[in-house]
Amino acid sequence: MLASIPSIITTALSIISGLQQAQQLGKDLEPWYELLKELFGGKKITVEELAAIRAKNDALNAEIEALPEND
Amino acid sequence: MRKLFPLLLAALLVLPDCSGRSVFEGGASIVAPVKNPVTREQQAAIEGSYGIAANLILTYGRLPRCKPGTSFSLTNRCSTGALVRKLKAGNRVAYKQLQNLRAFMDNNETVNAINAYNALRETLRDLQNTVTANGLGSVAAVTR
Repeated sequence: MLASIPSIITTALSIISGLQQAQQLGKDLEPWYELLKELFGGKKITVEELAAIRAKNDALNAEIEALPEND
Repeated sequence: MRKLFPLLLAALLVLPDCSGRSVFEGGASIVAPVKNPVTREQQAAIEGSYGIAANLILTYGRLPRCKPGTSFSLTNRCSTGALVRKLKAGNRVAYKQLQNLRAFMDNNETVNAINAYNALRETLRDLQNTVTANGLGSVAAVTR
């Protein structure tokens, strides 16, 4: 069925899918960017805040380790 | 969203200023090498840089595999097993260094913490170079 869809549409669908992925990535990255911006502005970090940041990164690392490596 | 792409690359990792000093030492780079004891804020900043890098790796690693003979582009958002393996290997080094930094900070081992911080910074820089060398900046790009 895909072979019958004009290539311009499949390209558009790919771009839209990419935009959705980028939007999701943007949502995921926004808190990190905000953190760096706040730190740049002189924000002080509490022990609890640092612990929360560490926990988030631990979770990210676990997800990375679970990524499949097949070709 | 359009603002995200340049901010992403800027925030991703180190932007060394002319003096090479971090903002915590009067320079312009938020994650530049440090010589004075690592502060909690500096630790948070480099954890933040790691978080950004990790999100990029995850986003790339979750893309479908490229068909033979094709490579990543804005209209062909795909990944290769080889690059996923490379990024995962880089992440393992970075995460280990992050754990070392955390331990040294928690134990007030000042000199070790400085060395661990600077080593992690270099690893994150290497990851940044891998990302940009493979055109993965567009993983996060919306439009240009």
